Amino acid sequence: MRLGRRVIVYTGALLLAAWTLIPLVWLAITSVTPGNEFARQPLPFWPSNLDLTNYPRLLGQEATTSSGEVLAASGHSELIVEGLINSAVVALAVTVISLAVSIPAAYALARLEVRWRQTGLLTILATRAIPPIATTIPFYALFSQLGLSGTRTGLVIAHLTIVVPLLVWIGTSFFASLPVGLERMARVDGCSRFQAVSKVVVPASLPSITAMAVIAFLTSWNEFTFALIFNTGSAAQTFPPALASMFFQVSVPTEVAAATCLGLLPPLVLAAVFQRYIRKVNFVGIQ
Amino acid sequence: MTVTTEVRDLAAAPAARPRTPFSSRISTNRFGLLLIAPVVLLTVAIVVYPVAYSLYISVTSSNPITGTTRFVGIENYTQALGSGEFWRTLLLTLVYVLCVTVLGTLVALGAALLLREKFFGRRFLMAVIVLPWALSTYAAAVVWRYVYSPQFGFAAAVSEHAGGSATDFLTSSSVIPALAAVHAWQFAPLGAYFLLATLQMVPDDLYKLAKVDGMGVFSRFRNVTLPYIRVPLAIFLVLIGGQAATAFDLIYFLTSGGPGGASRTLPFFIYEETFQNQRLGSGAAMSWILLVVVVVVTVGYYTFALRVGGGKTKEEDR
Repeated sequence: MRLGRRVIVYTGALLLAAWTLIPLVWLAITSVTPGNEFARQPLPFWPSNLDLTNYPRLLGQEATTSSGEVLAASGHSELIVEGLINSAVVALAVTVISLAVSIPAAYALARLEVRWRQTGLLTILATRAIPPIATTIPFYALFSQLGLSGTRTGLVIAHLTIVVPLLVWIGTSFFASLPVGLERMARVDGCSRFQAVSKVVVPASLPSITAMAVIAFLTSWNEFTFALIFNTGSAAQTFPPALASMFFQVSVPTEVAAATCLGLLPPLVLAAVFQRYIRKVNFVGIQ
Repeated sequence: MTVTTEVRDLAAAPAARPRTPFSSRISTNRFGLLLIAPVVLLTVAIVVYPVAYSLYISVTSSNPITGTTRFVGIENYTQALGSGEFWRTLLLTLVYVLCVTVLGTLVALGAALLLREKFFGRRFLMAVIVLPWALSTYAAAVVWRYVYSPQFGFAAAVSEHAGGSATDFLTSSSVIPALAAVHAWQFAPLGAYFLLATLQMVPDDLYKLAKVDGMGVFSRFRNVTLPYIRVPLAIFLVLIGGQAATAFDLIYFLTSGGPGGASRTLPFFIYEETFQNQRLGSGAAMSWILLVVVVVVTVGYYTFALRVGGGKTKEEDR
């Protein structure tokens, strides 16, 4: 590489890293900054001493500051902890159900000569174009009648409307990329048609199915609009609306920052661990 | 003798087995439909029905106090189309979509072109850029609240260290680009991965040839890179545009439509109308108009972009 090109590439790489990471790092720094630091001029990039008390306090425990002062648990700890638990339960249920129905459907759409195949694919594509705010209204009316608003079940159903079409779409484009004749070989070896799928195709697709599971979990964990409208203030409130109510009530930025870090840690860790699989996912087109 | 025995054995084999597995007895078409059936049922129950219900709501007017509902025909639609605020929010949505699309595409394309190079730390950068995407837009909004805030924001810290004073990024004149930057931050990684996958298929020799021909950087981009990524780029534009047109959570967290309605885009307006003013019919009617606009623009653009892309390759073939 010529020197000029090298300078451009490394400058670009630094800019991209900064653009991506600075907002996240700053949030983490804010969550451990003592409140009085914000009065300083200029605002420090790094606090003169760290205050780690927000995290145990948000998880419902007492915490001792560096000066020996004992602080009670945060008044929002119940809200945040329950939100995290509800989010985990809902996201796990959505992941399991959506995988169970999407994998067979995606497989059939990709590899079998099924009538109405094209229509099916187009319908799935069309459902992905519906703005979430448009489906909240019928769900809101329907859930109020059925007594499903403010429940985890209702939220799982609402999330499935987003996740299932997405997974079928991703899965179809993935199964279509497997070698032709894979099932035929399995059938020759004595598998039934169903076994050819469950014992040969699915194991061969494990990386992609992992990516699908991660995407299903992330989509549900991160979903905000349905969660806000159906479950705000209920016992089944997930993390995003819980954070929202804390966000608009609390004026101390450090505590909200710590709560945000707690809620964002699961998706960040999942995405970082499985990024190699996620990167290969074709979100967009079908060959 | 042996021949007949074999034939007999073969013919008897299926009957001799306890039973052929069910999945192997039925036709391919039936087997396929069987696998799709759960999704079809789920789609009917949780997509088709709510959509039909929303169409029904959009032609009714309900009174939140008495709980009565009456049929009003297309009144909700005509009312929306006749209201100045509706058109203002629709126009604002278009401006927002434009900002997000331009910013997001620049970041995604820049990142993809950069990650095509070989440099120290490339693998790290590839892994790290997935993070904003993993957060979704609501979380991106919360994260960027800590960048923009004049009291505790990173931007304030930078400008104070540089000797300036803290600026508020979310004033009525700057709020739309500021929101668009957050949206681009969250959505660009997907585009970067997507474009990079295509860029890696461009043969290096083409660039060498173009260099020999005396092409500059921009000319090489236009004549070598662009024809390859034209279609994926068009698809990405559709995706990010659709995302921006329906964005709600980001605006809810960062500005709640403010200051003074400067960031009240159509999805946020629908939210206010439906869930704060309790006018379900009007909200449903407006979301249908939004849906129609999004679909028409998407299909129109997609056909246009693909035809332009297709025309280009045919020219090259000749």
